[in-house]
Amino acid sequence: MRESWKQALLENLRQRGIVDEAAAAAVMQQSPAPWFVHLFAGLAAWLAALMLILSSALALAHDSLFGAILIGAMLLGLAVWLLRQPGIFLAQMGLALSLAGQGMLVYAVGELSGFDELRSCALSGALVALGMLWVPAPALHRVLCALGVFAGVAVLIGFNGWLSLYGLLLAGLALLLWLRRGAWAGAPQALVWRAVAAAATLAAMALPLIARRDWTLPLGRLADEAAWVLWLYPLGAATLLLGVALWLVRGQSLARVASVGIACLVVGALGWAAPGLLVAAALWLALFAACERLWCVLAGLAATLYLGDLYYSLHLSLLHKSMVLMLSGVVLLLLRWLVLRFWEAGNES
Amino acid sequence: MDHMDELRRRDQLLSWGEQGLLTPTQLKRALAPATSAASAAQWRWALDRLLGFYGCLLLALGVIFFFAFNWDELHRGHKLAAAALALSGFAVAAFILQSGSAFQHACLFGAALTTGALLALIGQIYQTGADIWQLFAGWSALMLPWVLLSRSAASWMLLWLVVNLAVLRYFAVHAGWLGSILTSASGLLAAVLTNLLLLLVFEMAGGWLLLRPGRLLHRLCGLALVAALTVGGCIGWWQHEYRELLVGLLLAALIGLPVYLRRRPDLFMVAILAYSLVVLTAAGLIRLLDPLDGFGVLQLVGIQLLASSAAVSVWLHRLYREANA
Repeated sequence: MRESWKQALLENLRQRGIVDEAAAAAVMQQSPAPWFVHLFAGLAAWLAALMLILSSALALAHDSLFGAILIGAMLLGLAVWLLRQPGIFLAQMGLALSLAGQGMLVYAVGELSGFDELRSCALSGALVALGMLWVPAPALHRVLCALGVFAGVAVLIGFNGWLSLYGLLLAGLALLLWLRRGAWAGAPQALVWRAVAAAATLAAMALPLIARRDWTLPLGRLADEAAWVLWLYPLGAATLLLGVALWLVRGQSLARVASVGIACLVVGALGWAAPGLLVAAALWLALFAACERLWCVLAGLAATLYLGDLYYSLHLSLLHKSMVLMLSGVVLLLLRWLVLRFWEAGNES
Repeated sequence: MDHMDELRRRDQLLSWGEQGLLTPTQLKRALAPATSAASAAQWRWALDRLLGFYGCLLLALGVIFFFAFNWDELHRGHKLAAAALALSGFAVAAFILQSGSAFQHACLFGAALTTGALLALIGQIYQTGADIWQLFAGWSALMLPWVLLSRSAASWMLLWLVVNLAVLRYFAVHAGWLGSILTSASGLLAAVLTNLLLLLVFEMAGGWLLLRPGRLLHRLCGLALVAALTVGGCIGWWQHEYRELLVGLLLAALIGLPVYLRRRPDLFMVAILAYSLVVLTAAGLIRLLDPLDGFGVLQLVGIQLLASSAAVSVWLHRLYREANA
């Protein structure tokens, strides 16, 4: 249970004169509970609040849309207050009330709009979530609000070719934010940027699965509606990977930049049939550069998930997929050998 | 300092900066002499592992996909030779490579995966008629030597997954995957016993079985064990045949909480046990209030969930702070 390394780190900062005794104590006092306590407490608070709200508020909302708007606004007001309070449970309760309030408002707007209910709900949901994103709150609330904004925009775009472009834009946004983490980490709105980066990463990892899989056929297959998506998404994913890699080796020797560029082009060509893998690879590079260990593991898991998804996808035969996978495996092992050789050569010189 | 420790240190400093606990100037000084980004040595360390692991994974998956294609024109002798060649390739590479290196672990992981491909191929060629659970059971037994040689968390996770798949498939012969497990007390009990056994093995011999100390495998087994007990325990309030699982969960909490609080401090294990009791109590309350109308039940259970999960959260946070004081 101990995390003594944090205390050692603070002690080191204190000895170097970066923080004083009081500031070090304040940092330790702020020490949040581990992620799994937040997760379980959040689930419990969400479920409890949902039960309480469902049992009373929805009965009223059903009869009166004005009542639903009023209750939604009240819940949001209460949530804003709760989210500012210290203590893990009040914060999680605030999260639950915020989600319920947002849901209530979206429901009321959808009912009021009369036509194109889904788009009205998506637009209002995105706007409310965007507003709540700026409320001082724990990280989980901000990430969920940012995800709400991205999900609302995705619904507004609809299930068509533009969704692929949107997925690429979100991946690009996530890459940009993670690569610039050092620059915004101390900024006043750093927690908002972090939430946007986290939500964009999640959305970028999920969209290739949604946009490229055959189980979405009942919704209308994306590729059938726009043929250009077939090449746009893989090309965009490969470009993102190339861009990140070149950004990371900027300022180094021409030979090294050229080698990295060629390696990315080869990997991009091999990953053409599974662009999700290219997006995951680009995200992993940016996340590692940003020292984000947990998100690196998630990007690795996403890559493994895409491999499972690839098995069931119908756009290629299993024989074709197996050849591409084996060739990709050999290329990665070759790249590993080259990377280690480059480094050793660099050390010797 | 270990590369991961250095990475964790930088991540923590950046997080403190994001939370406003360090000013931009303090953050810059704290990160000095390095920058906020990962260093060259860390990149080398990470790429060595990442490219090695995913290279072997893609190769092994390529072999599995190839045999799943079931190419009719290819003679069965050639198929078997190809599978044996892939397996031997990984095995020979693992024996040649430096013992304990990340790449050796990756090759042993590849060998563990291709063992399953070879078994499936034998079943496909000779039409053994074996059910899928037998394939998983045989695979887990045959991959054990590779896993023991590797002693890496990734190989153990693969073994844990395949063992659990074998158990799940055994109880899912006639129904869907999850459906059969949820409607079968014996299926849940088997999942509980399997994960309990694995947990005990890792608790008693974890230091020997794993090359690097860590609690990931223990927690995976614990999570699966408590999840199966909680599902069964909740159904147990309504159906008599699930009562053993209800009692099992209470026993697990009675034994597990003192053990993971004092003998082997692990807040994750304490958390899953404590929250599972919250869920079990809520299900019991719903059972008790069955005769009441829906709204009343929802309100009472909501209040119970609020109160008990609040108490658990505050208690866990206090434990965490005390441990770090």
